[in-house]
Amino acid sequence: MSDIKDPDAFWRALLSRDDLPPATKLIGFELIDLSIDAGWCEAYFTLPEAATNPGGVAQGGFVSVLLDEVMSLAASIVQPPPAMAPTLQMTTSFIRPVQTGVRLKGRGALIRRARAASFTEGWLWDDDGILLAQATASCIGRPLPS
Amino acid sequence: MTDQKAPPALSDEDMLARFQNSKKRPACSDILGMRVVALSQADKSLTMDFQVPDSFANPTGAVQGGFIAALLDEAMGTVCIMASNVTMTAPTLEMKISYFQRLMPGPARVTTQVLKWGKSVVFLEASCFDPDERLVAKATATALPKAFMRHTS
Repeated sequence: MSDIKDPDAFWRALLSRDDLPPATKLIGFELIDLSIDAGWCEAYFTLPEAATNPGGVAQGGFVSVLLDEVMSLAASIVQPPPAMAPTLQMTTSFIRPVQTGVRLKGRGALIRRARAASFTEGWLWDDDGILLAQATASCIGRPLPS
Repeated sequence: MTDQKAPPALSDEDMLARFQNSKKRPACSDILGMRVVALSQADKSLTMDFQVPDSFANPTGAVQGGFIAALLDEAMGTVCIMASNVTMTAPTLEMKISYFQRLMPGPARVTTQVLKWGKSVVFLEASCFDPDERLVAKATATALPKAFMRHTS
């Protein structure tokens, strides 16, 4: 079991540090808040111009990147830290075009944590609170390999 | 869709060259290190190689699942452009991905095919393979084709 005494402080420090992993940095991840008890995580994102498709908006896969990030976190933080939650299956609905280079808000929430698998849901909004994309996923929680 | 019945304006070889030599690649193709390596207009299928950058890695060093979605979506978007004879793009409506095993940054290959080109909606599938040709992930998606309007600037 984990010997980390304060999981909440652990996750907040991990997700707010300067040397975020490359993938997290690339999408402009900025932690808003999280709840270990309720199993959710909210973050701001800014997609790089490099994610722009021929239509001039974000390529859909990059939208999935943002949702995958907050959804995986929602399933990770409810475990004894440090932990991860690799995605088994994920479905994204691209509700409206997503712009690159602007601030977006994402929320990932744990729907059910079963013995083996967990189920999550995610939402992505623009700065005006307009829903841009939504996703559901299943994942398997496990300790982060050290 | 009279386009569907008409014979392809270009041979497969010429169409492939058109994709490979395109000078106006969208930004997302560049960051993914995308290159079309084979296509069939008759089958509406296409094979694409990627060079996945280290910046797509999660803390374990493997490619974050969402970026695998980006590879799959890139291939499915491109096969729609090809299948419409470069007259349409097809923004994705919904995409479902199953992840079978991890992918490390570096080379990856995606094969994709149009399953059905309907009156208003396209159904697609795509598979991602690692350099040892193991199946990493598989996607199915729906997309909505619309007339091509290349974004400039």
